[in-house]
Amino acid sequence: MQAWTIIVDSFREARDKKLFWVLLALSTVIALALACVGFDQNGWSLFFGLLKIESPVYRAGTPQAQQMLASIVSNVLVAMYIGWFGVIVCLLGTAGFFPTMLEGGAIEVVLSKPMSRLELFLAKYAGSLLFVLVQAAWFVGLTFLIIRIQLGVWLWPYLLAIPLLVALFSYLYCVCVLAAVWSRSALTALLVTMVFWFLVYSAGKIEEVYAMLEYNRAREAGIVEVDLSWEHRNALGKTAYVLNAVLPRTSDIPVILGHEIQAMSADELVLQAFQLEGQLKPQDHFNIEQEKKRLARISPLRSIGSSLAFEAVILLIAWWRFARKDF
Amino acid sequence: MADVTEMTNWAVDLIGLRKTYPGRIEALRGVNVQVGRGEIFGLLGPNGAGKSTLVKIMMTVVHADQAMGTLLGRPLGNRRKLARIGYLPEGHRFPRYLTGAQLLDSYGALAKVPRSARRKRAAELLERTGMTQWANTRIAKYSKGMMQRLGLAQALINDPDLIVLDEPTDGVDPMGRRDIRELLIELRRNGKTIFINSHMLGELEMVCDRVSILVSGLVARQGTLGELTAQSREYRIKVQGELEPLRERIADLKGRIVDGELAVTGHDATKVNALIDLLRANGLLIESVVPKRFSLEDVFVDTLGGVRSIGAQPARRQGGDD
Repeated sequence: MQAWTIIVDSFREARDKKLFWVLLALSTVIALALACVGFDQNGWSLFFGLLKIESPVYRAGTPQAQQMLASIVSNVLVAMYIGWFGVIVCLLGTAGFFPTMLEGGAIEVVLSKPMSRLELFLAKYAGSLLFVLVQAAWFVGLTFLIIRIQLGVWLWPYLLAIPLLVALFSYLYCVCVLAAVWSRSALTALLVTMVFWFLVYSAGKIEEVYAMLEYNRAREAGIVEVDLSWEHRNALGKTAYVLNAVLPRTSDIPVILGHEIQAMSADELVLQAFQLEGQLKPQDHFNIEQEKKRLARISPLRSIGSSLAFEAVILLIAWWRFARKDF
Repeated sequence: MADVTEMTNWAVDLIGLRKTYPGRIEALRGVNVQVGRGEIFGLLGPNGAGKSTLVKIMMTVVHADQAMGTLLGRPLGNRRKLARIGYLPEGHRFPRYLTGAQLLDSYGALAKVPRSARRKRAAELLERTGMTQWANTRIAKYSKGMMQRLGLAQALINDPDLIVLDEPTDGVDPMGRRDIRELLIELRRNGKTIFINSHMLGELEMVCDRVSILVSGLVARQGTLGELTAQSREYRIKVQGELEPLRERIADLKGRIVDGELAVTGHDATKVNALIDLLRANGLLIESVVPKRFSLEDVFVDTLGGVRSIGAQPARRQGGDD
C-alpha cells in the first residue's frame, strides 16, 4: 500500500508538469503525421493523399511497404523522436522528482512514516519511470494503431518499444538519481546525466566506428564475417569493448527494436530501393549481407542484461547514500 | 520481554543521545529526556541547541551516533512503531500539486491507515482544523497558517499515541494559535502524549506539563513547570522607609534592592524571615511580602545565563540510579 501510494503520488507530480502534457501533445501530432503516409494500389502518398508517388514496389499489400513503414517507425520515430528528444524531455520532467522529495521540510514527513528507506527509494524510482512509461505507451500505442490502419496488420513486436524505451530511459535516470541524492539539486542531476549520456553515446560511437573500420577492411579483403572478439582487437577496439561492456548501451535499443519488428536499417532500406529499381551493383549485395551481420552482432540479452546490471549497481550506490544520509 | 517494554511509563525515554555532524559540530552531547504518557512536554532551547536534531533522531530522519531508549516502549528507530506516532516538522513543505484532502489520504496511506478509516479521519481532521472548505483546493494556494493547520491534521491522520510537533504555531495568527492550543489540550484529555519543540515560551507555558531546556547539546534543566518555576521563585518585600542605609546588611543576607523594594531570589523562607527581622529591627514597616512566580521565559533566560557562565551538564535521568 505504501509503495503504491508513492508511485501514485509520483504520477500526480508528473501530471502537474507542463512538460508532461506538451510531450503527450507533440507525440500525438507526430503520430498523426505518420498517419498522413498512405498506401494504395498505385503507390504511396503523403499528407493524406495530397502528394501521390506512384511505385510498383511501395504500394498497398506489398511486404516492401510494410518494411518502409516499420523502418520509419523504428529508425526515425522511435530512435530519433522518442529515443532522443523524448528522453531529454522526460529527463527534464523527472530530474526534479528526487530533489523535491529530499527537500528540507518534505523528506522529514515521509521518513517519519513506517516505511523503510529502501522501499521509499525504490517506489519513488518506479514512480518516476511512470512518466516515461505513460509517454512511451501513448506514442507507441497510437503509432501501433496507425500502422494497423495503414497496413492492415497488427505489428505486435512493435509493442516491445514500450519496455525498451523505459529501459533506455532508466539506464540514464539511475545516474540522475545518484546525482540527485548526492547533490539534492535538480540542475546538477540533469547536467551530470547529460554528461553521462554523452559519455555513453561516445563509447557506443567508438565501438561503431571501430566495427565499421573492421568491416571496411574485411570488405576490401572480400570477407563477410568479421571477428570482433577481444583477442583480435587493437587498442582502440579494446577500449571500446571495455567501455561498452561496463556502460549501458543506449544506442543498441533502436537496433534491438528494429530487429524485433524486422525493420531494415536506414542503409539497408536505401540498398533495397536500389535493388528494387534494378540499380544494385554486385558490391551492394555484399554490403547488404555485411550490414545484416553488423547489426546481428548485437545480442539483446547481453546488451540489456549488462545495461541493467550497470543500473542496478548505480541504484545500489544511490540507495546506500540515501539510507545513510541525515536530513 | 516486548510486553514489558510496552508497559513502560515513559512514552519517550531517551538515554545518552549523541550526534556529531561533519565538521565536528556536536549537536547533542549525551541527552537524556523522559516524557510521561498522556502529558504535554515542551522542549526549549536557543537556536543551535540541538532541539531539531533530537526530534529528527526520534523520527529516524537523522542517525544518532549513540542512542538508547524507547518510543512508546519500543527501541528508538523501530519503524513499525512510527505508525503510532504523528509528526509535524518545522518549515514543512507539502507537495503543491496535491489538495488538502489528497495529502491527508496519501500520508494516511503511508502511515498504514486503512482506506475507509483514513477517509473518515481526514474529514474529521479537516473539520477540526477548520480546513473543510479548502479540502479540495490545491496546496499551492494555501497561506502559511493554512499549511500549518493542514500539517497538524496530517500529524494526526493515524490517530497517533505520540504526537511530535516542531514549532506547531509558527506562522499561525492568534486565533489559530488558540485553536491549536485547545486541540492539544483536547488530545491530552484523550490520553495522547504530545512532544512540542518550540520557541513560543508563552504558548508552551499555557499547555505544557513538563519541559526540558536544551543548551549546547545538553539538557540544562528538566522538570514540571511547577518544579522549574518554584526553584526560581523570588520574594518581593515592600516597606515604608529607606532601604539604602541597610544595603550592605541586606546583601549579607542574600537580598537586593530593586525599584525601592527588597528582592530575595529562591524559595528559602528562612532567608526571607531573616531579612524581615532585620527590617523590623531597624524600625521599617513592612507593607507586604509577595512571592513572585517566575515565568517560563524567566526560567529560560536564567538557565541560559547560568549555563553560559558555568557550562551545561547532562540532565540526570528521572527515576534512574545515576
